[in-house]
Amino acid sequence: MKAVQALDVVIRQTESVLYVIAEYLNNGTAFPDVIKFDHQKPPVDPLQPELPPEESRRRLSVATTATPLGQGTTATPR
Amino acid sequence: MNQLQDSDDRLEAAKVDYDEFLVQLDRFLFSYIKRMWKGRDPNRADNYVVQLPSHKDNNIAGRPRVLVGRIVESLRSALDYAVFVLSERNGHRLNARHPKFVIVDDRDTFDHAAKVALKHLTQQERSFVERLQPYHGNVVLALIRDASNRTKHRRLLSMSHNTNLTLVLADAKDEHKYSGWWRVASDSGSAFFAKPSEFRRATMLNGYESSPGIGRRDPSN
Repeated sequence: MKAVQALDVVIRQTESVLYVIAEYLNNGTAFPDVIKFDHQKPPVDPLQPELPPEESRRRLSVATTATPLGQGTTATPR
Repeated sequence: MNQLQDSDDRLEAAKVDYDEFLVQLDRFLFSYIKRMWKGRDPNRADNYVVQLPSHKDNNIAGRPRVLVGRIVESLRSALDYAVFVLSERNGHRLNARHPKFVIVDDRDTFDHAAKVALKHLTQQERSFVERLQPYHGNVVLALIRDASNRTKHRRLLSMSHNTNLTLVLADAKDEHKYSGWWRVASDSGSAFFAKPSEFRRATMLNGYESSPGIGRRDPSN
């Protein structure tokens, strides 16, 4: 099995599942046959090098982000 | 009344931890880059030395790793609580054998596990949980299960950063050209700037059958 997900996507997909259950509980909305997640395929960073296949199988992406780099020339992480 | 309040609380906790994780990951990257800077070459004073880190320097320890563990645990709890609510709603008083959101890798195991964990769910509720299983392609649930199991049993997640970095040694008076970059160090008229890729990336290395993925946070959310 291939797992290709960023952590923010994992959170959103969990949220989607809970949303469906909440709709079912609160409004009686039927469960869908297929759950379509909004963020199934995260965009690909063209700068990221490909990992060797063996390495790829061992790795599981958990976190990516596009946080602003900060303002000004001396911006540093908080 | 929001019947999934417990689940929502845990989902919110995961989001809060994720926001902190992003900050902590940047702090790790800044420290990682800063360690590269060695200053002037003692043998050739006109030159500067930047030492490339070894592979093991990419390993992320401490707070970011703890936060990822907490996030996946919160998400799993959120799903478990949803099954709990569904079970109680169906009129069943629950005892020590709490229901939980089954996450397994094949149908037979699901059917077996569901007899206990999803015992009080209706057929359509159980079918909904079944359709979400990893063996139908929903790798997210497998990720949550595997990572939360590891954390739950007090085993550390192994995490490594692999964010692309651009480094520049420039004249300090050209600082205006590097707006938005991190100024990592400076030395008598020169400055060392760094810029991580817009896509920060950290991966877990726990032997999962998985491959890396990348993504970006939608700034509109």
